[in-house]
Amino acid sequence: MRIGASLLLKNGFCYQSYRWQFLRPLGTLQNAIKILEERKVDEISIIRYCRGEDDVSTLDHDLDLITKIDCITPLSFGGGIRDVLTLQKIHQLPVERILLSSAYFEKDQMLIEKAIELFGKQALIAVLPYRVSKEKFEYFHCRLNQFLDCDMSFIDKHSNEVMFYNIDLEGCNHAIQLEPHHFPLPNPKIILSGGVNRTFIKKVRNLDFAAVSFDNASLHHEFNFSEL
Amino acid sequence: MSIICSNCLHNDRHPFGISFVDNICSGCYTHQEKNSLDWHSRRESLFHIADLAKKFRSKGLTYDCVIPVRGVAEDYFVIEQILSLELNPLLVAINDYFFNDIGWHNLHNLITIFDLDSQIFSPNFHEYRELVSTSFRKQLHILYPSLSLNCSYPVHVANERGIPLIIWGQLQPLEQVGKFSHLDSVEMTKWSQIEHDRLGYDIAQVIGNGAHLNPQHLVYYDYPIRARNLGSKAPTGIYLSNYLRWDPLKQNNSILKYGFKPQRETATFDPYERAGSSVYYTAHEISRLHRHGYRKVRDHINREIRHGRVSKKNGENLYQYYCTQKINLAPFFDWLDVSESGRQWIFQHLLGQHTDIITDESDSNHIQYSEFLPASIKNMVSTSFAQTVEFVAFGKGI
Repeated sequence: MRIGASLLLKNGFCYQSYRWQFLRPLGTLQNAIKILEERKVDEISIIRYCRGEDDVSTLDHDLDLITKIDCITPLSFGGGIRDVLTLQKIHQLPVERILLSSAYFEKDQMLIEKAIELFGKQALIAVLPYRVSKEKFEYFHCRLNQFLDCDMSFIDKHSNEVMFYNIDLEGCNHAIQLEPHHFPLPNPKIILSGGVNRTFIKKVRNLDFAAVSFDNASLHHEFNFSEL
Repeated sequence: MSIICSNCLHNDRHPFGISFVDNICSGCYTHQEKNSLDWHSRRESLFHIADLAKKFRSKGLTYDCVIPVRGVAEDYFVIEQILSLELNPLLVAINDYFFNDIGWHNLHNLITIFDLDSQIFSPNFHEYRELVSTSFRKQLHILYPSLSLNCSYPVHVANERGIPLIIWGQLQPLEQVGKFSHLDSVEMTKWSQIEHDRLGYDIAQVIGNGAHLNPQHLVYYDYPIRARNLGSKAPTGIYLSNYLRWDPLKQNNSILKYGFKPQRETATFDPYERAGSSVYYTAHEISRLHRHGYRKVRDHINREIRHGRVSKKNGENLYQYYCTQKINLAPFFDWLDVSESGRQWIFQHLLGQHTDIITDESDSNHIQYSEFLPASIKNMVSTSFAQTVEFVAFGKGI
């Protein structure tokens, strides 16, 4: 199971998100990446904070920031990827994997197939921000800024892995309550994120998930990812 | 367009970063957490940490924690709390060559009154002054070397002696701008030190080229490598403000009984924070104003607004008052051995927009409080002393 960290990027600066409601500043992207690398994280996901329509100049500024990053750890990048032009810009960056969310909700076949053509299907991660309400999963569509259903079989077919991002526990020091068959896809396809901490890692270590990804807590304490 | 908090004086330009929700800044938003937290159980957590640290003493270790100190009021409060936990600390201090007579008094008094072991590190003066000159020239930051040492050296000491715990006072980014939630229980990390204390640089980046310094001589200015490699034996650093309801002015006022001397300043009403420094409210103040666009007293005023001792309106008036207070840079330039032409160059090319508040005179004996300072605060800051000797290389006795 890979152990990674997510960094939320907004206007060229990293932020911490708490329960999908409140942002706190974190710091510069390069500093965060440098420290995560020293701590031997397996992968780093850079996610642009993007609800509603995106701004092209902000996107270009963030992409420019990524080109200047000094990093040898595998990077995933996403947030606001909504057209082929953006995909082509990202193709020039030192990014191994692409994070798409709204495209999967909208079943944007053209965009997804272009992403597969440019990066390979192994590079595609579908991001599903979710919460559990009355034992039912509810998924958040970022571009429309609301909760909507999604076609899980489409997502399963057109992605390599799926990141389930718990928005209720995001930024909290709680372990996600996990039961077998809790998620609608097989565990080896799933990346868990939102509220992940060291205790949670111990709980899920032997449950065959593809990966876990720390959110805010990755930099709050001094620990070595390879020792988890 | 700049956003201004509807509760305090912060705008969206702060060195730590700041965010807003419904026009309330993250600092004010996070301060409100203090009203709902279970401080009793947080204190219990502190007892638990202390118990774990004491187990190391039972294995033959003399000290169970390191407390980094500067001789400021916060240090007195931290030590008072740590001794109540029956811990046996080693005090670690850095001589940054900026102490004045008050600073040395407060530091030696701290060690004497609490009767604790201490270690004071005086770096090579010429290397240190060259670093100050370099960081002033490159980043317009005169305290970068001091901050680096104050952050890193205690970690080196804890590392080398196998002491498991380092106890800091307040977590500044949380208290000032709510950069973290209290619930995060953020600990000392290399990332935090670089991000919050060192402008995002390590010492090698500051030196770069142009400074006549050998990086091999500057080991203590950087986070120790062994601690970086982590593992279970690296020391843990905690912040007391995560475990105790933090109210700096009230706490600092409470420790006057130990013989601490607050320092009278023209730049702020708070005589406690960084009392004993020859530069914090002079050369550092002007460089800070240039870099961040506001004066330190704004942090003090915001703190008092959040604690309900000053209204925002009065706070604005207070800030306007302190913004007009002048700053004397001559003693710092003398210390740095800056020539007259060098000073003129600095005024013209670096600090040109601030010449209206730069003066050649110091007069800390005739400080008047602003009419907007409430009585409740005046009562807590009325005891203060003027520095009589500044830039004391090493002071002895109390």
